[in-house]
Amino acid sequence: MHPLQIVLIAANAVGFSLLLWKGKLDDRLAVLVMTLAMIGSFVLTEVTWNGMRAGLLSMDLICFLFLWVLAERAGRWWLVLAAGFQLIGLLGHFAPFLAQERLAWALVTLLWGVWTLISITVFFGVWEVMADRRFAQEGRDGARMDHGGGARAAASVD
Amino acid sequence: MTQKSEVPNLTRRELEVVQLAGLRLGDKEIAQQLGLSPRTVQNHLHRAYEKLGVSDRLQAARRLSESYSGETPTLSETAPVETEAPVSATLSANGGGMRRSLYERYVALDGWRRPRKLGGSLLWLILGWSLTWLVIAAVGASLANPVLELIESLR
Repeated sequence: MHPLQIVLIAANAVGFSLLLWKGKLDDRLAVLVMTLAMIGSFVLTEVTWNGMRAGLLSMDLICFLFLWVLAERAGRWWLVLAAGFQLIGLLGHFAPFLAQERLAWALVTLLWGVWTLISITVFFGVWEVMADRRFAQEGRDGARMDHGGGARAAASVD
Repeated sequence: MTQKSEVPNLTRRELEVVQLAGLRLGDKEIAQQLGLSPRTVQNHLHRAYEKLGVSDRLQAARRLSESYSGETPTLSETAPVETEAPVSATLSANGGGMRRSLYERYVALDGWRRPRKLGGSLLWLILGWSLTWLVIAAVGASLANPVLELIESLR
């Protein structure tokens, strides 16, 4: 296994764990989808059809569709960004058809780049989830926020 | 005990509550620490807001820190305050300055804290994000190719 692969897998493990711990249902579902897509990519990496890496393509397509749906449901920036990166990875599968010789190397580079960017996005997601939790918490606790907030305190009783 | 004219006259409890709120503790956590009910904590907080002329807990902590910087806090009750350090010092000791800055930026996003839908969908944002990075990749590749060829020719 390539050292970069190990680093990315380790980073994903940390980021996914934090999202599972701190995130809401949609964040956790996104982690589940991405984990399954990652495992599926390793398993189906040798599956080809008409010169295309059909296994990877199908995994990327399914992962993109799920991330898109989850982004729509959850309204999280990190899911939007992750879906965008996933779309780049998906489109990358068609690059060799555009210019077989010059871009033959591009697919693997692109997929690794996309994986790296998604890994960074996961940590951004952890921050977003925690900031969102805190914002909601401060609203519930009665602290009036400058930019909208929760309930005010009642009359003084000590 | 010296006193600045603008230093607000907080009670010991109000001071404690504001200081703990400045450490980002929620009302329940503050209540547990001080042995009060969350509602009482809220009441203390809001009385402190009024005296300090602020509208939220972070502003209150900051205002308090500014008022008391370099001085012992002034109390309207005779009992001594256990926490003598300014709130700002406690915050920076906990690395709170950085977190507050990022969080405040998040709060300031207002309606953009959540991605905005266009035509009921977020697809435009996803496509825009992808396109931006594809352009970056294309520009990067077009710049990298001549450099690599130049390096190759020099060998």
